[in-house]
Amino acid sequence: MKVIILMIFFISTIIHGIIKILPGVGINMCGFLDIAVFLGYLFFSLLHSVIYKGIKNTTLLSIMIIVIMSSLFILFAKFHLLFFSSAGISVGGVPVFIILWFIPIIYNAISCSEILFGRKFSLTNRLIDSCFSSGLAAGYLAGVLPIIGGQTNWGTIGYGAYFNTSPYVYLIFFAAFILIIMFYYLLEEKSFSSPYSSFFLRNLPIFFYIWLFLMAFVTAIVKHEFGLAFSISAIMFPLILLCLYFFNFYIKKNSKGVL
Amino acid sequence: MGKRVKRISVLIMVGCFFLSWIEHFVERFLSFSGISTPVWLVVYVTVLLFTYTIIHAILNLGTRSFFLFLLITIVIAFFIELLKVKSGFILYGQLMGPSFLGIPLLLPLWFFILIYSAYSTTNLILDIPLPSQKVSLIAFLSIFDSVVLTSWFTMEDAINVTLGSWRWARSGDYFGSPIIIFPIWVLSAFCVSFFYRLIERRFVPSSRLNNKFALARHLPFFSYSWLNLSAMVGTVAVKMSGTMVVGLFTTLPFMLAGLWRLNNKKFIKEIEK
Repeated sequence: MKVIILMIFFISTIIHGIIKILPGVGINMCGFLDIAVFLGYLFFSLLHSVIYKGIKNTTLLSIMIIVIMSSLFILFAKFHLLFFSSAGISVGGVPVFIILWFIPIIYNAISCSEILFGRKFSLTNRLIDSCFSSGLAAGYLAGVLPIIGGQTNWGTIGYGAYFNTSPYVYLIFFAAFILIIMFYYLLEEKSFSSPYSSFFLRNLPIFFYIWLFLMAFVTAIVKHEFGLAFSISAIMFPLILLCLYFFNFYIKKNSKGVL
Repeated sequence: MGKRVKRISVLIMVGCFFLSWIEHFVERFLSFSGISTPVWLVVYVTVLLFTYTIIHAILNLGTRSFFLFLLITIVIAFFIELLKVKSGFILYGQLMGPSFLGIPLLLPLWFFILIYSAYSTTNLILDIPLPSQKVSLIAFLSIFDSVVLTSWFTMEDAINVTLGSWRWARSGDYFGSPIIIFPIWVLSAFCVSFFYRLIERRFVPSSRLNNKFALARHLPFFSYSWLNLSAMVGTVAVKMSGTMVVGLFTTLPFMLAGLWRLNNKKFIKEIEK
């Protein structure tokens, strides 16, 4: 299982890197590679979640994401905040791939927060955890949505003060993620403990996020969106600093969260 | 220092912090109404914030360390501002009050308020025994300080340019501001923090705030969080809400990590035992 997860993760990141870097030298990649990366990250996240959270919790989280994000996207489409021009299969006007894409985004954000803060079940800690995870996921969207919009795939309708997108979309995403994660925390099976103790495997979500931010940064540079590239690096820096602290100073002392 | 003096100092410190909120409310209200901020309001908030910072720094670091920290900050901030002004990179407006050699006198004071907040926030989040002796660790802490400080500046620069506190000679890609200013802020803050933390190693830590309530002990962290929240509202008030997105997601991890640390002090002590 461990080898399969690592293989899926590394193959997906390599293809992802190729897709993002090659347009910079004038080579455009086929759309099916995007789908391959999406499927790779989706399966990596699901398998990772199954071994660290259990099948019940994984199913619960996936259902919550699908239900709440679908409702949100229907609202977005109704109020003309987002468009979906060529986003693949859709059910009831909601693009399936995009909704499923939020499973890796939200699951890995939750894992990053659990790695940094540890798993504690008091309401205040859960609220801080969910705000941190949601900030990470919505912060990533703030790095990619302005670019995705320009690729005529899906994105925010072209107006607004944040690189031609509406700043309030990100606040709505942020609030929606908090809602999903808090509901998940309330309903999850808390007694599950994973038999896997591999340091590298456990911390893949951190690498996942740093890689996503890096790729968003590279894409912004390739498209000469330097202001956006700076914004992405500014959002990414706190995560990198907290992780550096985690990896360098506390890892041997305390594996139950470092901060 | 007598107990009574200490108690009064803490009260003044917390009082100054809450009184400074008035300025934020008034300034944001004026911005929403399209009225420019008067100079006296900027002087008022600077005096209050500087007063609480002085008291906190003296109680927390000791008088000698406080003066050293202040001196390092003023010298480095003044030198870097002088370079920026003389090269024509930045032009300060009247809103920042009286100036010397084109540099507003309030600026080094603001820099001290901010770097001290960042320094305290880093110490709270990372909770590493101070003073740290390893140079590599000091360098890491200083980078952390500088990023904490600059994260606030991602919003505040746009607000100040719109309000007319300063303007850039050439506009840039980050909502009209040149991106290079942010590395300059990181570098300036890094230098101040690094030099101070190096010198700090020679002193025995003797905080007089250890027995005080969390708000007083970690006032710079609350001040940092408050300034961030106020700046988020400010960006909307001056119609620069794009920078709010960056500011929110850049400062949020630091604010949450600090809150988490405050919320789990007892828990961490239990683990350590």
